[in-house]
Amino acid sequence: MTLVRGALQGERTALGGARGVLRALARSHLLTVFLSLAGLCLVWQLAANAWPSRALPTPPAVWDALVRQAASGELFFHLGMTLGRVAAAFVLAMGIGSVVGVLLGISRRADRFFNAWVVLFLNIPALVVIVLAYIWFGLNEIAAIGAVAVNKIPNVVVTMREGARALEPRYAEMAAVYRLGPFDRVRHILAPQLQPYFAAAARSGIALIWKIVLVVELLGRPNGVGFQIHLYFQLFDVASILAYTLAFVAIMLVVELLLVQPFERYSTRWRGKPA
Amino acid sequence: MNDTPPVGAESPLKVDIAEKAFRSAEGVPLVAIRDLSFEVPEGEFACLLGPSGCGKTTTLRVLLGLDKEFSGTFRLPDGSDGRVAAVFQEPTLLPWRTVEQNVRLVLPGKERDKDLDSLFRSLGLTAVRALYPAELSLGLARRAALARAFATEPAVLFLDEPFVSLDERTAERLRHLLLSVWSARRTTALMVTHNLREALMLSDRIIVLSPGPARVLGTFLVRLPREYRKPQTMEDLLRSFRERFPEHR
Repeated sequence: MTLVRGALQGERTALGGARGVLRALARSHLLTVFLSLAGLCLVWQLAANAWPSRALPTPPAVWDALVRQAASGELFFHLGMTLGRVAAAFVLAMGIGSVVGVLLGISRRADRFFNAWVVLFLNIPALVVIVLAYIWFGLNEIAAIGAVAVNKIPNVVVTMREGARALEPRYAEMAAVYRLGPFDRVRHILAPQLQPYFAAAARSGIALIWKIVLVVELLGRPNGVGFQIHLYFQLFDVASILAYTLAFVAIMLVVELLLVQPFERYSTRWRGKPA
Repeated sequence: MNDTPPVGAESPLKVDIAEKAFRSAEGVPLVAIRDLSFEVPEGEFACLLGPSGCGKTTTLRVLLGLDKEFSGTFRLPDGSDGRVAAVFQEPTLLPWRTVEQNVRLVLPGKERDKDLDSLFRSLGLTAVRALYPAELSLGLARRAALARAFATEPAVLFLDEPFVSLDERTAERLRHLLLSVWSARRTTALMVTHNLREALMLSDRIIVLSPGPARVLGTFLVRLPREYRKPQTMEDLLRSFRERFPEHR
């Protein structure tokens, strides 16, 4: 008995110690990230000093470009246009992709028939879709956003189809016995089970979509980050190219930290609290 | 507890399943139920008693409308808009909703806000109504499943071995809870079990099934009021049951 108690106590102090170490690690983890980024800047600065060239501006030069673009208001206008396109394409792709994916996951026959289409669309290069969309529908916003969405939809379909295949039949049976309405079934039975798959599709979706949006803007839009990068490419202004890129990466990081992660924490709050 | 026979047997549960067969993976048909017919008068608690694998759960799935490929008919009691409630072998609570949300979810729209305090109190769930199912023991989760079934005030209640894989003390306590909640509002109930003692303790009638394919061997009426079903009298009940059904283990 004493032995057991002793062992238990030992375990508890070990746990307490582990928690302290974890906390220290978390702190040092942030510190590590900061040091690592600072190190990257330093290497960049040294490289720019070693080979002075317009092709590789120093970090302060990029910062100056950023401040200049921000002061003129251009930066925010173009960031806003790109962000709007990313959001529209994201909503469109997630919406259509989820519905199609779930339907394919539920119906074996539909899946057997449409699987070839999914594989085909999955393998069409983004550039081809964009060029065809501009040729068929003209150089307009709908063609641009539609092309981005079409690039992403097959990925969403594949992920959500996996989710629908993994649905627990017993929850559907419970819903049938208690005669839940279609709205309740989607909200309380279907959506929570698909949530992890939706989150995975959304995560990879946002990263992919903003990169494709830049290509779309470069090829056929009169504004947005992609258009600006194309402009400064022609002017050979690398500092401005980097300034736009870093600004948009920063925005996507903020979206991830303030929107995607809190939403995931909220929707999985019931997990990982065993009795 | 008042054990006078319930009034009004005008809307019984009537079952007449001619055949229910499954097709195995190799396409060989396997008959689970053949010529199964019985009746449960309104407001009675009945048990379907039979060895495991005899088709009890299959019968319940047919009656719940989860399995539509069978030949025969059945008629559920009307009243309460013909609402049906079920307690499955697993509690089948939605893990992403709290106990209370799980119960309220199955209520018809206009009753979603109704007062559930006394139901939760009688099942000893008051303290856990805001918890998620993962935070409950199996016994508590089973009680939550009972609360969900009774909250809907159904016309008929189906229970599929709701007390399996619990230790005997917890199971016994849950049986008493089930009886007290059921007695407060007598609804036609059909419970599947292979536990004879459980059936003798809970039911008004026991429908004894043969080993598969399931058909009715006979019906045993337990006329002794429930408050008299104490250990001594239970032995007598067991003896008279075994006299009538000597082949039942």
